[in-house]
Amino acid sequence: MLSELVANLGLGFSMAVTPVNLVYCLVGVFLGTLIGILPGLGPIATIAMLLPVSYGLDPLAALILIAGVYYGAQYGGSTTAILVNMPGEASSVVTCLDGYQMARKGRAGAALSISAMGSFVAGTVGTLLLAAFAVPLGKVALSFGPAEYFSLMVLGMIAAVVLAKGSVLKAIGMILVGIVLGLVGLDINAGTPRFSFDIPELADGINTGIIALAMFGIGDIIVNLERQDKREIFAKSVSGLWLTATEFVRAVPAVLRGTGLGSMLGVLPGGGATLSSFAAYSLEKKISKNPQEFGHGAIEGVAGPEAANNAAAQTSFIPLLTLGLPSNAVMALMVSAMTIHQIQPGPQVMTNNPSLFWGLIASMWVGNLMLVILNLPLIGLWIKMLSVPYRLLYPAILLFCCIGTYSLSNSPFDAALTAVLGVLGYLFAKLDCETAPLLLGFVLGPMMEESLRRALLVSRGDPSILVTRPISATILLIALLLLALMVAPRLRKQRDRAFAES
Amino acid sequence: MRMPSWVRTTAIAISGFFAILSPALAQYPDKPIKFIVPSAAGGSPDVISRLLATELQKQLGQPVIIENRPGAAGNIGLDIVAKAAPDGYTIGYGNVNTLAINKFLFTKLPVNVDKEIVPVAPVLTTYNLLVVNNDLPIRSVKELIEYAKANPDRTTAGSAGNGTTGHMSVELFKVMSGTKVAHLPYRGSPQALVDLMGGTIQMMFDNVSSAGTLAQSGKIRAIGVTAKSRIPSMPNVPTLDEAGLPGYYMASWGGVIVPAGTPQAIVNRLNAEINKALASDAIKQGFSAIGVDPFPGSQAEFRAFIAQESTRWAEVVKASGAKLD
Repeated sequence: MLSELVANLGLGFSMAVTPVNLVYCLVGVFLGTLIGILPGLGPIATIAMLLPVSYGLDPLAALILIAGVYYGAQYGGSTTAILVNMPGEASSVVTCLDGYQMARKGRAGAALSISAMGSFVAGTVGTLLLAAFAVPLGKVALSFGPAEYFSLMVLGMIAAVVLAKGSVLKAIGMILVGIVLGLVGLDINAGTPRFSFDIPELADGINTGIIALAMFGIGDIIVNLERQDKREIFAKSVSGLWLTATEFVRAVPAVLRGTGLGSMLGVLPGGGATLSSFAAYSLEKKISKNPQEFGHGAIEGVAGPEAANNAAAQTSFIPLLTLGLPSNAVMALMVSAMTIHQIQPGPQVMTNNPSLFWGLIASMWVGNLMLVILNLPLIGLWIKMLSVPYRLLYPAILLFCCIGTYSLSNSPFDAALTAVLGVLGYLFAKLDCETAPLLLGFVLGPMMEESLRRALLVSRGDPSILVTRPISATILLIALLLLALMVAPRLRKQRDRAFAES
Repeated sequence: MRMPSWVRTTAIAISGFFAILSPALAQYPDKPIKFIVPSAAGGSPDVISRLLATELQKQLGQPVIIENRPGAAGNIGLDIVAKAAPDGYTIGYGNVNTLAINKFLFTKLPVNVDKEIVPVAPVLTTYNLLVVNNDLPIRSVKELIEYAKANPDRTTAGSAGNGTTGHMSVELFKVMSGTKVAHLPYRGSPQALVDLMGGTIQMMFDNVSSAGTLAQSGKIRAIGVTAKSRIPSMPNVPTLDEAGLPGYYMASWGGVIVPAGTPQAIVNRLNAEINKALASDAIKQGFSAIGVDPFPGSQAEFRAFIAQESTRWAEVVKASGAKLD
């Protein structure tokens, strides 16, 4: 087994480090970083634009290029989240929470360093897992039916309350608003439109990218316009690009936990990768000795989720490579890049095209290495971006948001919708309602509903399917424990006291 | 405000330049052609359109640019084609769903495909495979029907979504076999295939391009194909017609469309170029890799084919009782 793995990886690296493939890998991760940094522009639009180019390439080079854009964007996305509180995608929303606060305290350099290094560690572990356990992990994905997904979403929702900095009641309210927004569009089961007001553009629901940009980015820009005095703060006080010893000690375990969590959740087709960064944040806040620091610049709140989303980005290739089934829109584009080269994605790729399979996996590690080398020296440069005058920086950001949301599905309606929802984001900010729980409700709510209805349809209306399947029952039990932990304030007080004493 | 004279001169020169070019149908195409694909980048309609666009571009000497306009079961993209200027510079991809099924399935639609859209040329046909979970003791269509009759509460059929050919195939199956299979729509076929492998659902009709490799590698079992004769890539899989449901037939197809009012000379030119492209090696190989067959034909043949398919789908949709808003 081990010698086989070594031989396979050897083959992979021999394919990945040919000069041509190295160049495509570099181009991919560089492009990915760039579009990740530009708010709104996401990997999906970029890869769709690169598709015609990739048709002319050798299949491995094409896949290396596309994969590079995908995980490069995960790196780049955190930079914008930290510096300007602008998430490009749902997965970098969580990074905004503490990363931006760190930047405001002059620790932007540390936040960027840990997110780059955490991502590298996670990417390395994720790639190794992919190489060693792709096949058994692919089988894990198959044991997750609708009942299990539903239970997982319940757990996610309960954990979402932990995301709240302030009032729990407001957090729950925001989760509900998120669910309602998530319901917009065609009801998959019955085929009836909901909250779409006969607007065809709403028939398929609102894109997550729109909600993320509007609620976090645009709302925040409007708030900043009001605050004349505060806006200069972090431009002056950028101290040290490197982590302090305490920060390092706090961040390392968080990176490892995030990597583990992200690797597991990434394997699940559909939503696993998005869930992972939220889950990692909740986990860090739950087990932290200083939960009150979260939301005010806790380094674990950056390190854990960043590692988690990168690990998940790697392991989300597992369903694609072992079964030929794409787990998200980017993977669907990879499928089309493969089919255009007459490679039918599926279980047989590993045996029929071993050099392609292992070459791609090896290139991911090479790409992750390139990203660290590319990003660490650039941190100083990114920080300088903070000293760009507000009146120049923010109009530019808004312009990119506009281009980005338009490019989601080439629809002017989407750009207009972002503007309207941005006003809503501003209102929420004024009312001190946090938007992270809203986003989680938006992502998880519809998936939860779909899974539940699917489970009940399969069981012909018998809800016991949720507790008779062992994995589902276990997850629900964990959710129940978590809930008990939260609603029993005495328990929580005792726990806080215990921590204070230790 | 007075325009500087050079601006005026340039503007006149430019407009004059276009005035000379625009009526010249003989020179079609003299600028890039926009090819609207009413689904997201990545799916098989997208791959098919891109293969075709690459060939057309070589033949026409002008770029053919794919524009993905997904949403609302293809209706958004179709609406854009219908409302575009009918000058041959906007063409679109239409398929069995947008041209023959949606008009019976949806209670309201933004576009009247029979009036606002003109078919140009057929491009491809493909079929659905009937696949079942590996752990079930089902090796033929007859055994599936027996199983479904014996276990009406435990037979669920997944599909890629409401109104897809996979969904319609199940409805046709139910009508013809007299079984009461529950239909479970998913958001696209990948998740449904995962649940088929995991045993959540028992059966599914899915395109040869997505279910084929999983069946060939033994992860799921293919027991029938909806074509009229067996398909070359899977010669051991019988047609549903020969396996116990005489007359069962279901094809997915697609072709190129333009807005109504496009000059006939341009339509004829496009039809000829598309048929030429379909005969090229690049398209033959590309299509066979994704499990679809080239479908050459004249405009009249395509029009007659759409009419014939529409009659069939009107019946299937009605018999199934499916209706979407």
